[in-house]
Amino acid sequence: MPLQFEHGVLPKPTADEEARQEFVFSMAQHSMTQIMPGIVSVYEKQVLPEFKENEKREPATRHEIRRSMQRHPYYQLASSFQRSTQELLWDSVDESVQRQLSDLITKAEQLSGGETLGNLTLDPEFEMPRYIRDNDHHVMPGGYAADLRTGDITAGALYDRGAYIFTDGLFGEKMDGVGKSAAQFIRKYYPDIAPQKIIDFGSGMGGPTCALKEAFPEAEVCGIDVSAAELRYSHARAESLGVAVHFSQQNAERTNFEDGSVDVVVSVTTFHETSRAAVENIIRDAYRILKSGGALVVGEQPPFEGKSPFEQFLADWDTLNNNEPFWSTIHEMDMVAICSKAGFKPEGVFTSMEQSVASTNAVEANADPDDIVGSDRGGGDFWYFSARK
Amino acid sequence: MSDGLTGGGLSGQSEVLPRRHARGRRPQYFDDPSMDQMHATIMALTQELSVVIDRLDTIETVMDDKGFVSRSDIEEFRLTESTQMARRAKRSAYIGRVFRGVSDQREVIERGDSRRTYADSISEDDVTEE
Ligand SMILES: C[S@@+](CC[C@H](N)C(=O)[O-])C[C@H]1O[C@@H](n2cnc3c(N)ncnc32)[C@H](O)[C@@H]1O
Repeated sequence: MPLQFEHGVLPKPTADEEARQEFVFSMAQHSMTQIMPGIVSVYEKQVLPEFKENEKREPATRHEIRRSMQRHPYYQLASSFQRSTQELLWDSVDESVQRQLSDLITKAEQLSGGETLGNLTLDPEFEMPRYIRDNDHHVMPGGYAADLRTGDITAGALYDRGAYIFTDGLFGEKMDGVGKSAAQFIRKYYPDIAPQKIIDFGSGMGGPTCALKEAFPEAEVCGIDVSAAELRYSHARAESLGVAVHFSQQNAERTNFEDGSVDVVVSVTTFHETSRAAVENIIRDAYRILKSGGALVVGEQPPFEGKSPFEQFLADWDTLNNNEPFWSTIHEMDMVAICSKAGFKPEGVFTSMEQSVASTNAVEANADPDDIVGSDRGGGDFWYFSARK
Repeated sequence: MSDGLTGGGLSGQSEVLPRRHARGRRPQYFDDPSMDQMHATIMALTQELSVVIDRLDTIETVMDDKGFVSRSDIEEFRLTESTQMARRAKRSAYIGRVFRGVSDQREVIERGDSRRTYADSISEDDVTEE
């Protein structure tokens, strides 16, 4: 994997910290390609025949499959490997971030102070939505809500470095592949839109937001997020890369952008960390702020529809094991119906599978996504739904 | 200061920071919860040994190069893509050796082995009656 690009606020590991992080990469690789694939055989050779013998039928849902699999010693062991690897991932990044936190905060403040390309607007009165306030998604310590000390940037630094290791660099050395993919999607399906204003809902550490600005340099690009620590980090990061993006602390469920003022609303890998009501609110607000003819572009993991109960069971691992409580539900939601309800014309709403983030980046995956059981690390297809106002 | 007495060398830092954990109840995977603890501990130990192996590799590389090595040489040694690839290949074999029991189990499941297949594979005469 190419080494991560050293922008101005990237946490730098000591030799041993780096060795711990490298171990996490190798362990995850081993677990996804050597250990997890064994659970397919466990199912086919043992759990399924036993189920059919006892019940005289095939299992009907992923939940039934899960209950039987959870009793199998090999599945227990494989799950424990995955969970522990995930914990070691955050441990190995957090030890490094916490050691240099004061230094990183100082750097971030320098980059964000004085004359800047883009603005950073935080809201001291901000009310954190419950789904972020009360949960540490994907077992990241402190989640997005933690604000450990004045000027904290921990959540951004953790995500930037942790996701880079987890995805084996497949999102690109600047962690912007997801944004490049979204830009490609906009060009492909909306060639007639020359965006003047693009908003990224849930901009996180800001890599994808920067890619949008680079793809559409004429446009004003804004990233909004609920997390102050992510926003400080993303702003400093973008400034150090010389990319002009405006970041502000806002809930995507009700933003402060004016009605009909935006050409494209983008949101990538964010919806699954919210809630059913929030998804409806976010889509409604996107509709409100879009110009007539503007587009909503949402990138996510593909839904469960069309998958066998066993495939669903595999894809659903994160719900119970990776602090992703909404994962299961969102994969069964009918986004086309929700967009139509929010006001988008049904004929302008569609879903589509696009090439992987890795191939958008022209990065070669370390292992074939087909050989992996569990997360495909960005090597597999990327799913979109989109709606035009 | 990393002077060896206050925890330089392998620990690389003098101040031990408290570990932060994600909120939420950790799932229990094994029937006996102490097995969950044990497995997490084995993984952490495997990781720590891997850190030592990487550090030794750095020491050997610098020694080959200069004939001596200092702590700061180790910190200054930067991973390049080619060292990273070489280490990953070695590490993958190392992890495979440590967790060999798991791949054995996978093989047994994939072949569908049972006591019965084992007994069938040897002739009746060879089996000692108990
Ligand atoms: C998994 S991260 C993805 C970040 C970024 N889009 C990327 O792909 O790297 C999801 C982000 O969405 C943010 N988020 C969650 N709910 C939100 C909401 N209602 N409004 C704005 N941001 C939200 C989180 O704080 C987090 O930074």
